[in-house]
Amino acid sequence: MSDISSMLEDSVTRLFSDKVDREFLHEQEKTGWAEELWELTEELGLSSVLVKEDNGGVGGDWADAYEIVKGCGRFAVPLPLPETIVARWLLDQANLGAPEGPLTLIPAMDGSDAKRIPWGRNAVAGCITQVTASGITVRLVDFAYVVFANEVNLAKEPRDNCLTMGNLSDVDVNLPADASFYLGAMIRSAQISGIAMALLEQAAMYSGERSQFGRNLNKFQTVQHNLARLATAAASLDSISRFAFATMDNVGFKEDAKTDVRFAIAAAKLRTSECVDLICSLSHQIHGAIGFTYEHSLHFYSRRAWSWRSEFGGSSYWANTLGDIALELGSEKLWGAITALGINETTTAD
Amino acid sequence: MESIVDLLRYDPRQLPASAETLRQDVRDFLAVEMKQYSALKRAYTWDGADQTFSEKMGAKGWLGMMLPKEYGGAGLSNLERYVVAEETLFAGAPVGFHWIADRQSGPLIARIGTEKQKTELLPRICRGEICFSIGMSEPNSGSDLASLQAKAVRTDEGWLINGTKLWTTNAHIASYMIGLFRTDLNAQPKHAGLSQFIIDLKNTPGVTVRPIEDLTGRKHFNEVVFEDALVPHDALLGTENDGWRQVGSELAIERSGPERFLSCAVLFVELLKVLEKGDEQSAKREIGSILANLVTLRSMSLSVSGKLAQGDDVSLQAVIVKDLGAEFEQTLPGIVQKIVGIEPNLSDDAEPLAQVLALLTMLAPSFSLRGGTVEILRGIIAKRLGIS
Repeated sequence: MSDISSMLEDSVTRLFSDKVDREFLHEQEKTGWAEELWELTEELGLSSVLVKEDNGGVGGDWADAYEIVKGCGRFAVPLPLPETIVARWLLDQANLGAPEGPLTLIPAMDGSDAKRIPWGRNAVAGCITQVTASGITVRLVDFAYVVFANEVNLAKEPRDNCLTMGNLSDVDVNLPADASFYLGAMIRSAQISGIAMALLEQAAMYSGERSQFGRNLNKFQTVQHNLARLATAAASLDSISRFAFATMDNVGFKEDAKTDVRFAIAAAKLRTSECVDLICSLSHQIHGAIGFTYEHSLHFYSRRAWSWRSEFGGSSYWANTLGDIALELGSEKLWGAITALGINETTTAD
Repeated sequence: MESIVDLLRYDPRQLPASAETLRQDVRDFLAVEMKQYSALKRAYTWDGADQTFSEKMGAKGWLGMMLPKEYGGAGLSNLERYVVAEETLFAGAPVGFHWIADRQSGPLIARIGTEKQKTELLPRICRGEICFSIGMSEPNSGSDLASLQAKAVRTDEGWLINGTKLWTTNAHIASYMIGLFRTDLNAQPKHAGLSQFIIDLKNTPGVTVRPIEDLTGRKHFNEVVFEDALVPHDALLGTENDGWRQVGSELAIERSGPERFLSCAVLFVELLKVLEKGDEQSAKREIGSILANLVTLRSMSLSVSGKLAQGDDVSLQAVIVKDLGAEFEQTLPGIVQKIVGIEPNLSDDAEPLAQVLALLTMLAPSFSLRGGTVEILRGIIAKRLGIS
């Protein structure tokens, strides 16, 4: 772990565990936008973690960004901070100055049609990579005059549809056209891995407090085993998501989706999406009826997980994508691709 | 105490560039050696034993790679060993003869053995000459290992051993057993007073090895009975009455290696071969899911290997890999059944996929038993996380 990673993890954990508690989330879900929390993240420079120092950023790497994005999941942070981190990186790649304020990723855009934009109404602009007549560009859409139809996901996070289109700037970039979609999937993987950790922490705490039949729930072997399964799932999701971010550092986007970071991202989003049922059901089961109430905070995590698994491609989409990769490589080449995954050919590890 | 978040952290580990050169050498070697093996033979992976093959591996310098050079090893880290292990497993090489010696007996002896034990045994392990077995379970002590009863009593002539070890893999072909025996009958708690011994299975009167047929009809594990078997004083491995801790130190590498998720690799490859000939699109999603699991487990297993190479305590992380790996491997035969309508069939003229499916369907129950039952593992996980 780099010094920046460790420092970021500490400050993210401190900030969010201090500010984002149950009362805050209840209040925020009613009022909508947490401006004060956003300002605090900006003071720490979190959204510019990947922007080069020369361009006024932190100059961190994706492993550093992972700590922030996972933290956003673990604490159910109601902000488009992960999206802004990626958007600022995309704009930095295109040497395009990023506007001040929260940004977002546009999942897909067909002409001027763009739907389910995370935090569209709150973001100042949105980003997407795509193919244009002149080649692949990063497209920046100014939201200043865009009218949105407000929609939400299961956790009441804004997922808005564009009714009108704003000013567009297209700048050439040396990335594949699907880069922004893949990066969207990658941040959702990390967020789900954070959620898994929160679901485990909550279940561990509750089972140590709640008593039935004269003993705490965590003294029952069945409950211990469910906690252990939840822990192993959380560990595996952390591992594969972390691996995808590390592969972004070590390999990044190259010519071939079968051998670059896209293989790792597809695996991460598929595994995290597939595990959502398991982690949510185990934590809810351990909590019993109280976890099913609005009053309890458990649903802030489970509702996010239930939506995030479908955003930027759900398990059906990514199982197809990864299946394509496997079948294209075939029985002869698949193992070679698995063992080469994440290895940077130009530098030596260790 | 470390937080849950830190305890469950799996830092990505890249293999060193030298390991990747090694990988190509191993692949070239296997491309030639494995030609003679049918898919069914390959499906046994580390359950298949072939001393000739192990000797060839030894001649290449690929056994005991972590052992010091003066004892015939290569003085490398477990990351290099990891590459050789995963390549041989994926190819379905018959690594059973050297597997236990290379993975844990050799490193254990190198760490705590006497000079005489190291000089006598380690070079032969590195040459693939001797097979090791591990004597732990007994008729009345399975998961509750600390309750074991077989005992070793110190006499003027040596240690006098009595009792029975059960489910001892490869004892029928092994030259040695590293066994755990009770040396202090009055010690409390029950896991105190245990010691490890290196027992010469071929040349010790009073030792009887009886192979036990498993449900596939094959004989690979054994009952080993000790009746006044006298072993020399210097058969003691490590410190008297410190056996429980010594055994614990072996387990991290035993539980986190690639054998915990590659037992069904041959099945996956044979499945792909069949799909390539026909309607592969229909199975795409299942294949994608299997692949995501494989990549995830490998990232975890490699992460643990990296930490082991640094000398970190990874006992918890290793247990987690074993638990998840076993679950994954056990579900694969069922998934394959769902993808292709094929009946498992062990007969010689059956399709390779049908044969491999037959074998692994029947071996699968052992995946969550060997190396610690899933119940024991989950108990350990809950305890180590402080959530029990």
